[in-house]
Amino acid sequence: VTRDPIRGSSDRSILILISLADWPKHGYALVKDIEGFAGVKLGAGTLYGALAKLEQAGLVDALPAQDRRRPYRITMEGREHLRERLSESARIAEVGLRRIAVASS
Amino acid sequence: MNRRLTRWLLALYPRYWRDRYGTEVASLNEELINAGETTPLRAGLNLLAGAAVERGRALAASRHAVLAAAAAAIIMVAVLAFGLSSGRATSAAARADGFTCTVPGGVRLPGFVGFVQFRGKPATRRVVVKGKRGPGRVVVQGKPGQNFQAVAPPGTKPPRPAWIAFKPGNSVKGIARCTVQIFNEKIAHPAAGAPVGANYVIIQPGGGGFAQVVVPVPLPANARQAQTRLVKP
Repeated sequence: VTRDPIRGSSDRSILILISLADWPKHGYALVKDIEGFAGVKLGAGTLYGALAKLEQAGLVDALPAQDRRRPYRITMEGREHLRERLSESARIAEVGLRRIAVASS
Repeated sequence: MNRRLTRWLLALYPRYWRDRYGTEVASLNEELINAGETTPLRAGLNLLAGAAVERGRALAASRHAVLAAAAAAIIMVAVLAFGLSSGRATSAAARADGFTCTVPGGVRLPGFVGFVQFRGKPATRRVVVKGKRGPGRVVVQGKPGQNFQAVAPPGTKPPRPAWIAFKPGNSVKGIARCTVQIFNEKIAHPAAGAPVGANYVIIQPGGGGFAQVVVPVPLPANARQAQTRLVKP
């Protein structure tokens, strides 16, 4: 698995990486956090589908399970990938906003 | 949604996926339903959709593997046919020189052969060795843990590229109508022209069929000849 499927996938992977950017979280905490900052409600199947891809790509790591919950943390590679993607998104957003401003002036 | 239904829905996922994430998914599903974050129906549909996605992904991976294997088989047959015909033409030269090797050349493995997925686990086949087309010496040099590269002995023309597929980790499946010796000498082999300090692999004439070379990592100290095996076509 390379990074390309992650890049081509929807924003779910990015939302998970953003959620893990501050500290490790288990599934339920991820769902609540993502809902909180993005307003997106992920189901268990969707969440773990994206997590599996991220883990295979080496962008997140699974930590030892606590009870039935297993926390995940972002790797250095994942952090770098997230930084690249967010910078790219910010640049595109800036271009879009500038064009809107020019068109409406 | 009861546990039995969850188990049934999880059974739709590929086994490796279920073994790895099944418990966590079931646990999260239960938590979400108990917390009123989702309904059993929505949770069930979400698992069903997830299973379809994972099944599709596994199918795509296996199809990729089958295509790559088929392509590799076709290429092997082509290389074998080429090798048999060119080998006959150069066997006299090989015997006379005593250090001549023919590597079936002119075949470049297509890029998609370079990446093969087997049972969902990616395995990379890198093309890292350049041999020489036609009669002439071929020296393949490198250190354990590194890729190998063919070099031209002094006074000869650089070898024309003829690719041999090597597996990673120095497990090598070469295609050469030769015997293969692996040296671990810290001096330059006079016939090979390899630089001092290099571990190198010399492909020599005398054999037939395919040579399969396994270079141990690291090479044993004072190893004069490591594992070599000739596989008759």
